[in-house]
Amino acid sequence: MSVFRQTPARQLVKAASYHVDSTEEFNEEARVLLVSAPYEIITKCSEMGVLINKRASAVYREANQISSFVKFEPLPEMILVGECVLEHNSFPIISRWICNRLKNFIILIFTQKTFFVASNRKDIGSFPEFNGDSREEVIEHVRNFARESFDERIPEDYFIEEGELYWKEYYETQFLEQRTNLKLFHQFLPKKVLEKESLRLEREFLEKITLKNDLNHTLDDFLEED
Amino acid sequence: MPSTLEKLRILGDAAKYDLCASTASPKKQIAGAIGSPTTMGICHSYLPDGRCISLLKVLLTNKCIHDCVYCINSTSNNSCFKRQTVSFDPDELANLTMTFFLRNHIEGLFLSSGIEGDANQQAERIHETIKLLRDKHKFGSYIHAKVLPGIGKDELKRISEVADRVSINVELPNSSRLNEVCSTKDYNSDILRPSKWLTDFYKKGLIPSGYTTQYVVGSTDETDEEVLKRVFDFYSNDWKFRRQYYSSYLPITAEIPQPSYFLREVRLYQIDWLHRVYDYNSQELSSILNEDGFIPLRDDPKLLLARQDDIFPLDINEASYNELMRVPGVGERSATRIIELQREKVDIRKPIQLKNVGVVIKRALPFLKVGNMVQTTMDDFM
Repeated sequence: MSVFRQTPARQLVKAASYHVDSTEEFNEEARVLLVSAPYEIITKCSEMGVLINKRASAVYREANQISSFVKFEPLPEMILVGECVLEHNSFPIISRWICNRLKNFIILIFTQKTFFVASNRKDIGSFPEFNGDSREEVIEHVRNFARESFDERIPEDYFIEEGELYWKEYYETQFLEQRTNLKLFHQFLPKKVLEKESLRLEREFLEKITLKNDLNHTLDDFLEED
Repeated sequence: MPSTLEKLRILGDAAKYDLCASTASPKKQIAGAIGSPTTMGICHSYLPDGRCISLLKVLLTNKCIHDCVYCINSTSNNSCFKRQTVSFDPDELANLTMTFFLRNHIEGLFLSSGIEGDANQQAERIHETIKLLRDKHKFGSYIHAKVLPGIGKDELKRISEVADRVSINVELPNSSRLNEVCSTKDYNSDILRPSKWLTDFYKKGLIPSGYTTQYVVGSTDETDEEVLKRVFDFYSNDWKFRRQYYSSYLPITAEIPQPSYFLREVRLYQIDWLHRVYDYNSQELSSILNEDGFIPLRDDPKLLLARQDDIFPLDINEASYNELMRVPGVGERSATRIIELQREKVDIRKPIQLKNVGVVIKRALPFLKVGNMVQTTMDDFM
């Protein structure tokens, strides 16, 4: 039974074009290679093939991390609000993945400088151009748009007070102390990724267990206090 | 009366030993449903033990009539680790699932349970909870139901109709081993018989993500040979299990074991993958067991198999996909890419080309002929 699926060369070229360093010149060169020798992209047997793969991987990695780790705050008008920091222009991939999973919601994601709205709902038109001054203004604008477009609402029962506390409690229960394996943990959540705000819970829990189990020594620990 | 939060703490903690690695389901999206499973699966968080969190994994109740020595909810567990017995109300659990799902904390629900009363009553409550999620809450995403030993055929069918994946824990490889740790379950009638029904339901198009099982490794003196006999049988066409999971026995009151304690479990997973993905047959895999019936812990099983194989060294430019998959350091991704290069008539002459396609050079080179080069090994001087 095969579990590996090779990403088609066309998709790799498209993803690489979203990389922060990809210029129009690079994209054109990649498109030419896609027509002349697509196997070079799949097999990474030329310098350009390696570079396309490297950039596509960086974009897919970011899209995967954001769509997995972004935390949403639901609003009654079928809106899910999230926040993330993007290095590449990977929002087209992120929105496609999230909207496919959450078809009947409007996804509103704030980034460092801007915000994105996306939805797969069939009963709404395109979201009107809007440049809000503040986060609150943008949210209010999207809520008004949703109120005017459809009547569906998220049931009140799903708005548990202190929902984050529930999640924190649940997260901590799942940890098997006997199997602590920080090397494996950091393979999935490298230290750079762990710094992201959406992974604050994981970061704080890691600090707690490393302190408790005395797993993390620095030189300062061996110096006497003044 | 414990709060929902308190129940979550207790019933989440009690379910953490259950294993589930996938949230992928091939089922079609339901119009108007909230959420739909992806074909690849998603992990929403990771724990410092290296495991991912993709599902809300809880028990419906931790009350249980069984006396399995490896289980924290067992009637035989009189230690201070025994928790207060609590149960989720189906509506309460459904709301909690939806709350976590909309916040992007989880991909779906993994629902297991202790047995309060009898297996069929408990199966009805599991079914009620899932049905509530599917019908009232229109939840379309992934649900994994762990069914209980001794479940009836009708009850199992009803659960199979609403869950994406169903699993039943076999725990031990055979009847006599199970009897050593549990006096209240019958291996054949409580575990194997319902497993056989799953095969029938799957053939009829139910359970889109297939069915799985789990072993507790080391709770008795069972050998790897015994475990693998059961594993290979369950992967055969007679049973068609999708996945089998292995979990090292963790005594409830014992201290934290050394990391090497888990090596046996790792080796079992490697054999499992070599069988399912790399297409090694059961005879080949059994050939590396030592005299006592265990997988040698020191060496990687694929390396041991390659040393026995007379097809090496392989000419990298002429090897077939199946031959390449037998080379240590070559996996599906790199084998696929090498075949693509062969098709395009690109000659592989340098190890760097292999590195680019994803081969682990250090492991693979002793078994390959690249250009005109074959790496000399110690065996050449023996």
